[in-house]
Amino acid sequence: MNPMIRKELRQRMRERRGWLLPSLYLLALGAVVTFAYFVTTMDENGRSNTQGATVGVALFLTLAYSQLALLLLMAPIFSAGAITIEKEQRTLAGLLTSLLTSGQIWWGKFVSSLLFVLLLLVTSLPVLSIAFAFGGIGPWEVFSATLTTIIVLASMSAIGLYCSSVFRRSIHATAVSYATVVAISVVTAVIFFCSAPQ
Amino acid sequence: MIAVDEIRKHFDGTHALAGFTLHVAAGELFGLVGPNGAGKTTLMKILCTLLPADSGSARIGGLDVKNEPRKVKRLIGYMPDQPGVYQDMSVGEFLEFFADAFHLTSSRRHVAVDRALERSGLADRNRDPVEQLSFGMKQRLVLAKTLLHDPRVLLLDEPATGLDPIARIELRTQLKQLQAEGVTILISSHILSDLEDICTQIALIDAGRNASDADGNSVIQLRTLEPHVRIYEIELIGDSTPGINIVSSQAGARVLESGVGRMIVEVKGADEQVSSLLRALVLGDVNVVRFDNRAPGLEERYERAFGKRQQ
Repeated sequence: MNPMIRKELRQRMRERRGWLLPSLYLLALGAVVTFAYFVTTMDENGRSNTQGATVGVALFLTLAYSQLALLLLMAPIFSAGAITIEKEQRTLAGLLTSLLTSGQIWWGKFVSSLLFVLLLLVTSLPVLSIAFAFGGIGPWEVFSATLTTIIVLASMSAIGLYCSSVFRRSIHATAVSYATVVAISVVTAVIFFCSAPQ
Repeated sequence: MIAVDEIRKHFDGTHALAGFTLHVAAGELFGLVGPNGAGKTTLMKILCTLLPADSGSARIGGLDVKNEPRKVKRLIGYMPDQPGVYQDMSVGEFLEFFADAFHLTSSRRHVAVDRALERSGLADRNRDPVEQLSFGMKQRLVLAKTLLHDPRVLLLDEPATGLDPIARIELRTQLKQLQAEGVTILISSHILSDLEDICTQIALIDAGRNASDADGNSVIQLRTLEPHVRIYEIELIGDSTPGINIVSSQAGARVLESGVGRMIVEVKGADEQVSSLLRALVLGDVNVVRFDNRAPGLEERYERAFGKRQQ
């Protein structure tokens, strides 16, 4: 195993955010699914006569987009500071003069920052299963949504790492990463809605 | 072991190194001295493969630093001027990580980490978080980490900065021990008394070039690697030429430096050789006022070389 991955994971899981973030993330997703359930099922008289499959699809879509939005907010936190923290605490020279290649250092940082975001993705599976219980969606939809989320997060983590290698301070790298993520997300959303059938 | 020839490096129009040359033989403990901004750290960074030079050549153990960085990294241990540590790791984890980073095999890794803990005097703090260590302990930990892969060359950039007197003494002792084990050490420092105590030679650097002391020497010889060789400073009244002639006629003695009223002389052999030299000088009507086996103070030489420029 790449020593960088082991070191990074060990350090990340020791931080307070190692347990705090998954907890807050699940609470946020729980609130979203509860809100989406009541919005979908209740009419103006407070009665529910919506079919289970319709509820399942609505919950799934709400969860998938909410999850993507939340994880997009978190991805830069983990990746944008990955290399700048080594510069700030003056440990980068030690890494670069070891026998680790630049590729191994980059890959270690990338995998560990992505794995932590994937940990959040995995912890949300029980919440996602609620949508499954209502029906209307199959394993393929869940798989394709998860795969798309992973690809998007990997791309954003790579952008964060790029900023982290360019800037000297974490705060600058994180700010530019967020700006880039927001710009890409907004442009993608505009293209998506403009190209969607009316 | 270390050969630097006419090396140049510039940053945004400023010449950090402007044709510096340095040769360090295997097994030497070589000092590098110069004022702030002289180019010491830039030279160290080039030698440890962190920075590419603009021109000139730098070789360690016959390997070109620019073209064979990976092989060079196997040879060297580098300790930067402000080394960082992972505060949230334990002492043992920190060393194990770098043992893995130097690709030590599992059997060698265990031995190397144990030896590093012993060397740094932190064996009983193996499980303690690094953040709980004092500054001196952290420096010892970083030096121990630097030695994990048994480098043949050590590049130390201001390793004693911020250390208390006891920690400095321990560092000097450790460096002498490493030199005795055959490790070649290049050390830069502003603490001249430390360098004077441990170094065999000291190179002077200023504005990225080789600088010279008042006697025109760009490398100051403090002691030699050979046993039974001592260096004496002799102060005398008047012209030093007769004294130089007498020293040159003595077996095992030679003049290293000379100036008005002073000579630096190397004497090889037993105490009788030294006494014979002193007797020859006195009988040869040379008016000796001081015959001291301590070389002139490095601080004094530094002041002569750089003092006026810094005022």
